[in-house]
Amino acid sequence: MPQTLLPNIIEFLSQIYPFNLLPPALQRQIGESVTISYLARGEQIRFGSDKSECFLYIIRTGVMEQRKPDGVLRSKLGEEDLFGFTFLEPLKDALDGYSATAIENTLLYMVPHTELTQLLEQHPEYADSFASKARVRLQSALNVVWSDNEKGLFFKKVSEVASGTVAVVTADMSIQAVANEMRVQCRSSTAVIKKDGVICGLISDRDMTKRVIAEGYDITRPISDVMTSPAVTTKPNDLILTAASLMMEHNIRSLPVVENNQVLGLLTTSHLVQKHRVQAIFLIEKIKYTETVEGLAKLTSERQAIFEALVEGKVRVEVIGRVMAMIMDAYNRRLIQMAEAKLGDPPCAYTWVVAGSHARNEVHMLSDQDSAIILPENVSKSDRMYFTHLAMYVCNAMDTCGYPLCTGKFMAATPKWCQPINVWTEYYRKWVSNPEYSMLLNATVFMEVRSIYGDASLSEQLQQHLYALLNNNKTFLNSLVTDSVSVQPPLGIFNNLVLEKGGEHSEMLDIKKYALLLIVDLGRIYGLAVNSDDTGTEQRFTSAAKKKILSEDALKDVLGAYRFITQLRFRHQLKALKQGSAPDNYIAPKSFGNFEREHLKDAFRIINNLQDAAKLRFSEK
Amino acid sequence: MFTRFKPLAKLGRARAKVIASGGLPKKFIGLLEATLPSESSNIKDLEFLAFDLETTGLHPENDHILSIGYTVMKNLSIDLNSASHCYINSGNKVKAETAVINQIVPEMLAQGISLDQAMDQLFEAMQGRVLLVHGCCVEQQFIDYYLKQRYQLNTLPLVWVDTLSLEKSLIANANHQKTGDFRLSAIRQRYGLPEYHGHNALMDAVATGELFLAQTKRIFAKSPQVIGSLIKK
Repeated sequence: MPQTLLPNIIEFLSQIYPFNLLPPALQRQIGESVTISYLARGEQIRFGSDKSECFLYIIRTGVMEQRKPDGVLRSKLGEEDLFGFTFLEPLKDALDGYSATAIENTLLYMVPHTELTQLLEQHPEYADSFASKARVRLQSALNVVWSDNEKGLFFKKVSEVASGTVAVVTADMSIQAVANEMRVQCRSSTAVIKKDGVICGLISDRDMTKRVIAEGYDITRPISDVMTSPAVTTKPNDLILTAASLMMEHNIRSLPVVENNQVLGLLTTSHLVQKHRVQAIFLIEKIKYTETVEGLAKLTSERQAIFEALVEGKVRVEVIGRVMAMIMDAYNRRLIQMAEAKLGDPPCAYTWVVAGSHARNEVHMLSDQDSAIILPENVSKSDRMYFTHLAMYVCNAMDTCGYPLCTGKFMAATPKWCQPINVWTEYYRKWVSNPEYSMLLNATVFMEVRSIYGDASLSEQLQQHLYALLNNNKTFLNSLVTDSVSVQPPLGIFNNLVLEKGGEHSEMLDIKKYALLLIVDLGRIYGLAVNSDDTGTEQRFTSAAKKKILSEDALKDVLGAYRFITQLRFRHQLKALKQGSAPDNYIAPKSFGNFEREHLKDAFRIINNLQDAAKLRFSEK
Repeated sequence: MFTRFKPLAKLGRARAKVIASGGLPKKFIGLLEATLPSESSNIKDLEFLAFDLETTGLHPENDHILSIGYTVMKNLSIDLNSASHCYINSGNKVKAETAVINQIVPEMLAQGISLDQAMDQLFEAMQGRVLLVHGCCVEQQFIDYYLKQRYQLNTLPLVWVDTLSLEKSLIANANHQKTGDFRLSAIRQRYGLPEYHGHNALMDAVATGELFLAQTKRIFAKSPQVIGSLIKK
């Protein structure tokens, strides 16, 4: 055939290890040899002495299970997973008696073994890659992994899972009429109650049992007497994870999906139980009910398992960061509660804010703590002592739970960062009006803060103050730019330039310092320039593009670079975790494959270009 | 008992009649003499030819075939080894708007083969196979028009299966409705089949084949999978 006329099939193949290693011509050759087959749920493939043609199976869509002859689950396979490696010499009889069953309708691409044997004969250089993929599969026999499908829940949107039926009633309707509407008209376990077109409350069948039947309440009374108000709702674009944790937090079983006061559907716990295992939610829930610091510390391994699953599942890096941040929030909140229980009720209002990567929702396995406490203006000296003690307890306990203390001491336990709001506003004023180098580090850490506990209005007040300052002082952004571009991405990395020389990390690339932080810095600059409320790097760039100070193309480029580099870093951390060593940010350039090498070079170029653009845009005029 | 009135039996009689009438060009004789499946033939034992035509429009009198793609299905699997695709060079007839839809530009057609060559290949591939298309009207009309113009022949009695009408009757059975989005991509999405972005005759033929496989699982969940139930009465 002339050009590739099976673009979708070959493109799919070319992304899958080890086919991604093959040159395009061989990928095409393999692609054109494929046989496509479809299994309905429950259908089975048997491997064994049957002499008909054998295939390497690639799951295009669907989920399959492999079982040993005795019925023991060997592995669970999802989209892009491969099985049927018996063409490899040492595995010849390995699959005898095994069977694979479709547990969802499954579309399979099948590559004939004869084709692969021939390929490996002609190109023995790829034999190792195929063998290692098979080994990985065999190893997975030891610990049944989650299929990609199950991992998928993390980044599914509420709208993809929720059902479309929910009763919508008005506040003046009688309890009985509402019950009828729920039971008969809509078969919905929850009704959304509106008053003058605005959602004012909810009622569930559970509430009906508790508040109406058990109490013998008059069912001709209006529903507004017994409804839950205000209504807890979710948005169609929220992640399932966010919605589910909301349900846990409020101890409710269903959550109406609402946008602009329009009720679009209902998300219930049964949707979640039926369709998915929500590991992260279970962990967050466990954290909430754990009573001791030791107990929390023991959950670290579960946290790691979730991180691994997310990275392996190729979940978008932004989502990984958000999930890990939700978990870190849960630890942090629980520990603050424990501290309050130990020290007694706080003497006044306060808010615990997180800063840095935690505030940006870009948490990973290496994230350390960045935090602060904001107190009301005229707080007494003795009251301040209470918060210093509280912060010391929390910060040390976080450390015990695997969130290391911040080496720069940007933590609420440092008295300097546990201050009344008037001192904080003065800090910001000083940083913005007098951006000397020594101050800049403090400034950048606290340019993104997020309140996770206590009176959030204190941190909002501070945020408004910061934007007012920035709008009146353009030189500050310029200083941030000058500071940030003093480090440049190592464009010549593969000519052995700009690597750490000497020491433990000789000849290694510090991917955090030379790539990731540069993008995060640029994101902060662009985000602050448009007074974006968002703290996340991706959202900051997106806000800047909306306000037209960043072109759509530049946005796409920089997001692509950011995601690629973050993913590289996550994978590097994952590898370390799997080998049982401490994850770090140092990657040996030699370990990059061709694909990564080219992409990394592109990413560096993109960062470099954006640094230049920022210099021009934010320079003093 | 009433096999005489079944569509396949009817096709068989029609074939015999065309052959007996004489004057049928030699190249079509094999096509019509090939064994017809019976109503109770298992689809697992039959060969299908999933194919698709890309055209400049819907009207064979004014529009032209731009490309043809097909792939063979046997044992209920799509064998890409058998896949074939060609562009048809019949002068510069690509309308700008169809070029956008089909992503076919004159340069591609310039490297193509003649319509006669392409149709000969297609007829050869059809031999002994059940034809499988999504929305068979267009394909049928263009083929009929070609046969009429080139050979003064009427419709050839071939066995067609149409995934679009299968879907319509599936939905009609399930929901008592016949409206909805019946484009190939929309139906595929409902079946959880992958989204195929590119758009060419071969990819569409493969996509149709996959959809057919998925549909058969639904149609024959418990019953024997016989061809008779897939053909329009």
